[in-house]
Amino acid sequence: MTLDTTEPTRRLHALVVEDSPPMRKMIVFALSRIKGLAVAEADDGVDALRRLAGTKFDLIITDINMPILDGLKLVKRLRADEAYMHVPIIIITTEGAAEDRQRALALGANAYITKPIQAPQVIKLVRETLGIVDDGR
Amino acid sequence: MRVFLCAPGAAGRGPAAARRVIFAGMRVQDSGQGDLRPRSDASLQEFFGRGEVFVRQLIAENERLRGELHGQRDDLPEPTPASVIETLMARVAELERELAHAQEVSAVNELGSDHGDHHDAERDAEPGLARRVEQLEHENYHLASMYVAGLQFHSARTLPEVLQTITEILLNFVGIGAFTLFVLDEERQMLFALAREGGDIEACGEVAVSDGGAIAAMIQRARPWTRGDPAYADDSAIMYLPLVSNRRLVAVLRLESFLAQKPGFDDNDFSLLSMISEHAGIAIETAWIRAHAKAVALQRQAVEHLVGA
Repeated sequence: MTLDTTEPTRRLHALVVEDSPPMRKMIVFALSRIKGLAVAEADDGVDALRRLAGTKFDLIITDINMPILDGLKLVKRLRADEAYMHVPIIIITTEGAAEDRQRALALGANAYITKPIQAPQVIKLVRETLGIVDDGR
Repeated sequence: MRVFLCAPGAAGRGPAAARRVIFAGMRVQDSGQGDLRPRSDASLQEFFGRGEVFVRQLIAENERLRGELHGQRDDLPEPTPASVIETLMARVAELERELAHAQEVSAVNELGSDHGDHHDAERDAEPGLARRVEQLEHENYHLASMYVAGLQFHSARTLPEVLQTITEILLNFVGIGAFTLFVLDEERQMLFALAREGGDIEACGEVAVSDGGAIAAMIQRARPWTRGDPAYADDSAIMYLPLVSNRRLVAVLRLESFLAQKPGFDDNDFSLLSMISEHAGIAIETAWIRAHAKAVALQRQAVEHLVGA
């Protein structure tokens, strides 16, 4: 019998904030490949704040350009919130939006991924960010 | 993500993006390669389970929409071509054969273990299995992208939703940085530009369907583009893609350039383009019909009449 040591000691929670349904679905699908990670979705920054108030998330992945409350404002709000001051934030951006990307990193985002996204890269970055050992999936 | 349609000066705004990521101040752990075979088997099993679920959901969604569309207009053509579903099913069958092969490799590995040369056999088999698992992950993601694209087209209710779906799939899934959508004016038999990404739509003139060239040749074929078909192109396009509904051309996508980091099409892109060619035209036509349909509440007698009950 082989002891499975890849299961995290507790289930981790990630929130994907993206207003584009196909992009959001694909990111959620990619993250669903990570064992032990529960993934929730939000349509925009306001929806994200509502969900963040109800659940303690371990990782937030957010688009920058969104209606109502964009990703930059969301990062700023989270870094001012004691509960989310140190929670990793990965932003989704485009290569042409270098200025937004730099602003997000300056506001406290930890890393970024660029569109079009590549699932293996997203999975690898999230695993590294959360310290999840690659379980071969 | 914001989608700007027909926005003058949009050139250069697109996500001309390298796919690199940065990583700052985070913990990295060893990936742990031990005992790969059981985990690979489990992963393969899960993969095929997910693939089956995707295909079933796609079929169910198609059935639902078929019924919905026929409920709106009796003479509506068959809304969901079966070829994409058949392609997906064929791919699932192909992967099942590969799974059987992978299991054979595992069995050989196990046999080597019984004969005392377990470590040599495992060392030989694991890199191949690991590579195969990685390939299957790509396949899995591709099937998911096909499913999501199909679902988005069939759930779009308005023309702006259809245009947004086309834009997002081309930009974010295929990696097309600039394109123009021409829609057919059936009365005038002219193609007019309805949306453009990465350029000025005002610069796009109308195109008569009777004109020669790539578009005319494509119209004559009057069927969705599939892998292996000629890639209609000219000086202004890397490819023209027909958007068809029931063998009737509805629109044409002129794919003008890739994103900066995109070197060209790969097999998965061709599958997605084929999906767009088959489904986007139906989505445009459905949105057009919806825009002219009268909202009527479901009524028992009328519903029963439609099904002949």
